[in-house]
Amino acid sequence: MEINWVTVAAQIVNFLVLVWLLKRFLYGPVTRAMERRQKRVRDRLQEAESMRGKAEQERDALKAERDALDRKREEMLSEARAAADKLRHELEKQTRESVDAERAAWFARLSGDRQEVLSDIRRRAGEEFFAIARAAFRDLADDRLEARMIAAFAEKLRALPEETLEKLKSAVRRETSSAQIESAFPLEAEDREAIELALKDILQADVSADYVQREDLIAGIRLRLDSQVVEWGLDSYLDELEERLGTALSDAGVAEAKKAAE
Amino acid sequence: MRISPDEWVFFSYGAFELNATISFTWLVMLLIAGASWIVTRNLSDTEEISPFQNFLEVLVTGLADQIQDVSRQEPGRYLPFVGTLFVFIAVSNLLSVVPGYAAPTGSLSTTTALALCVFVAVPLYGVASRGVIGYLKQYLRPTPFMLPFTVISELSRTIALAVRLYGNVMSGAMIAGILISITPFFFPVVMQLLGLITGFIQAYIFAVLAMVYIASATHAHEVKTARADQSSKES
Repeated sequence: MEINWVTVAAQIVNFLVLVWLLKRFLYGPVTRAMERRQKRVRDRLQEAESMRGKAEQERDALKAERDALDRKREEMLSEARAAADKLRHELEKQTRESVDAERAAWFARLSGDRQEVLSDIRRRAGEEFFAIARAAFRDLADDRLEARMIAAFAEKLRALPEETLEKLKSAVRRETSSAQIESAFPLEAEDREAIELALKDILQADVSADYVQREDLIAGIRLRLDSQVVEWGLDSYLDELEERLGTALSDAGVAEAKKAAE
Repeated sequence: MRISPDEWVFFSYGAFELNATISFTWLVMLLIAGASWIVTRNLSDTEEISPFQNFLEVLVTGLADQIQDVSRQEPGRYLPFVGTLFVFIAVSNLLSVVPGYAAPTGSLSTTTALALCVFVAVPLYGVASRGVIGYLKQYLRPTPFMLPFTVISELSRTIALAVRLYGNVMSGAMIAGILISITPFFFPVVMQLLGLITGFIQAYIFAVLAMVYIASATHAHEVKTARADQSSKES
């Protein structure tokens, strides 16, 4: 166990040389390489960070754009909806108006028809009534209906108001026109006599009369003198009948219309 | 039977003898420096690295971390000295599995040389970081009466360093040699493996102790500057 001092000196030199060699070939290069790598990694991380920031910005921008598009689409949709609503209202209005017009036309047609039917009924009813009444009078009272009607007409002439009488009288006095008796049925001689008698009675003058048969009078007698007209007939009864029938018909029409609507 | 490789002389010229210690030291140096040179010629700084570069990086960062742990200082300026101590001793010891090789660390001359290097390096690092006066003041602390004991401790720990390494490596080789002559087959191999572990541990111990001595010489200063840094940062 000796120390060889020459060897010690040589080993010291050797060791120092080795320190230098390793510093030159091992520690230096390896440390630098690792630092370079760390820097590289740092750089790449920074780059990634900046890229992420950019990507986030882009994403935000895209999101904003998409939101704007959504809003626009929503606006357009609501506009379209409003336009469609408006159009629908318009169409509904038009349809309602046309339906109303049609209905009005229909009602007008209907009322025209009713009027026609009513007047037809009135004429027929009058004729029938007249025929029935005549038959009934003959059978029951052995009397003519025409004679009773003439009597009623004469009664009416006698009961004329003063004013009308005056007018008739003045017309007779002027002799500008002759009296005209219109009736629905042919007048017998005795009927004519009765009428003339009654006229003479109220006018205190001889009056010649022309006799005219008119189908449209139904059951009735009319005196035309100048511009004056005196008339007796079933008109008032027939008017009432027509009114009642009209009411009944319009009630039936309303009920029918309701049923059709349901 | 040779106890020291110093006695195995290949060639002599006057006072200079080319003995096995120096020869195998050169071999070890050649191996370490050559391998480092070959590997570090093409270092890659990308993520793709060769296994050899990976090994060297693990070695260097491991050493740096160890130095950092022991000294609590920036490892950069201690790494070449302490790291080389470790690498040289470790490779010298590990190569002893090769037949015909005699570990240079089995020579008291080599271990003395390394211990002397540490003995000189401690005040050098101390002076470099604290100045001559600052370093010398350390010997008078806590009281000037401690000066002789401090000096003795400096010397004795240097001797201890040298003798510890020499004794461990030499005894390992001796035991192997003796066992080969007694039980030639299985048992020496086990002892040889044990010798590898011992050699590695000794390299670690030597390097860490050297670092501890250097750190104790530089530490106070570093702590003071660290505090100054901290207070300046706080203010």
